[in-house]
Amino acid sequence: MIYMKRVRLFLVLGLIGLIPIMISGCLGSKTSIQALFTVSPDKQVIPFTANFDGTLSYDEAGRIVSYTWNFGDGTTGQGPVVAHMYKRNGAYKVKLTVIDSRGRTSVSSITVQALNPPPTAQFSYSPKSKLNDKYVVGASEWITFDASKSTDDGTIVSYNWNFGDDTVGTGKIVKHRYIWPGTYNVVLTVTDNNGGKTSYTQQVNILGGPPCNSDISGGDTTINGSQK
Amino acid sequence: MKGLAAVVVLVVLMQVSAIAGGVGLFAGAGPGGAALGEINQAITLYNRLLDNFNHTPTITGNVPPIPKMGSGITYQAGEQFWITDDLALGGKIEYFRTSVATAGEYQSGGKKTPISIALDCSTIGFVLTSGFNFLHYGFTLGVHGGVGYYYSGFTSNITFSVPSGYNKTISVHPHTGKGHYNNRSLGLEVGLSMVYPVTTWLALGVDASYRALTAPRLVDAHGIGLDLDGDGTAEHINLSGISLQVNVSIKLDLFR
Repeated sequence: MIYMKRVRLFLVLGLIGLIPIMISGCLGSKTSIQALFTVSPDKQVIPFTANFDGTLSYDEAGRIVSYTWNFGDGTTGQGPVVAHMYKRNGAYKVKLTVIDSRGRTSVSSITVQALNPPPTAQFSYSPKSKLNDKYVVGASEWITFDASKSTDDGTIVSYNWNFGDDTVGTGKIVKHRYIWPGTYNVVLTVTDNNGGKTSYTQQVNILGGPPCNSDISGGDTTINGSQK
Repeated sequence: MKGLAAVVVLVVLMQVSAIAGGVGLFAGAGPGGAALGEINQAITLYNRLLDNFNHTPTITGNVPPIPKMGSGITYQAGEQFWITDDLALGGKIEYFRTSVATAGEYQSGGKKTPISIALDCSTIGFVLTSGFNFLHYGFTLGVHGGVGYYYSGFTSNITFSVPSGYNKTISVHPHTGKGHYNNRSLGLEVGLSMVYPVTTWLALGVDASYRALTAPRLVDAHGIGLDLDGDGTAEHINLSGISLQVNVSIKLDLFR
């Protein structure tokens, strides 16, 4: 009889001991509040306005009472739907923090790419003559390539030329001559102070042959630049 | 650890064989549930996004929401050694499985975006049990409890991407891809049982049990955890829950 009483006691104590485990098992360890938002656009050339919509955020066990935005550029905002203008290039980590009526929080983030506007590449060359609606240059004639019309919101830090005859050069204004007749694709690549690059290609038509006394090894000259 | 457990079982069985009033075999099945809190929170996230896609004017098509995960069927089979007429020790194998799925397709500008989400969770437990009958009134009412070693597995087969035509970027990227994750853990079980003796050796019964089982973070073959909601942390698989089972048991009076 005493034995049975002890068994009953152990069983009751055991069941009581299991109650906290049962309760903890029923509770989820993650909160059911979720910050969730969309952005459009998330990648654009500056200046541009990004539209943020946090209304996708949800809370299964309460009501979201606060939407706080950190736009990643030192500014903040409030509200479920906001817009923000990015004026300087860079990668900005935007964070939305939502708080519900029970004081629980959730954070979600996204990276917005504010892109540097690339430089514009442009060049002209001279001398040239018009022949049958086509500009032509004589073989062995020195040609001046001028990239002064290239522009950027900052500064252009390099001008790279590919003359299409296996020679290259650098500089805003360069001189080059072609020994052999043909059509050459001249490619100018300009790079700005933020690393933005743009290329521009123009065809140069060379007529005639090398003069008998020409130095076919080349011997280009450069103004404000260099050549290889 | 395994050796110690084997010794404990052996000692118990030796004592049982010396004093036992009988051996009972039982098997049963019935509806069961598991909390799966973090899994269901990830399902809520998927459903939130699907609902948003379903209501985006630039997208056609509809993908139904995923049902919450947790309801399934529990199976069990085991044996009990009756130390006295009312006190039994024993062991059982318990199996629980639950699965949910959804599928559909979105179209926009001639481009199709298929969506399919299938989640399957199961656990098999090897449980040392004890039972005590405290009321005899035509039927027998008792309590039972146990501690077990559970192998839990989770399989995800998810094709999920933002449909073309949804011209916004979303801050959360839920999991996509196939994976099988598993782990082992200890669990506890406690419950009430009601047994109605059909004959002296055959009985029908109903068990209402609560299983306390939180598996450690499930990992795949490469040790990578299951991160359904894409928040960078692996989900816990909380398999705690209630089950209600109908059992058939056979009692063999071997030592009387």
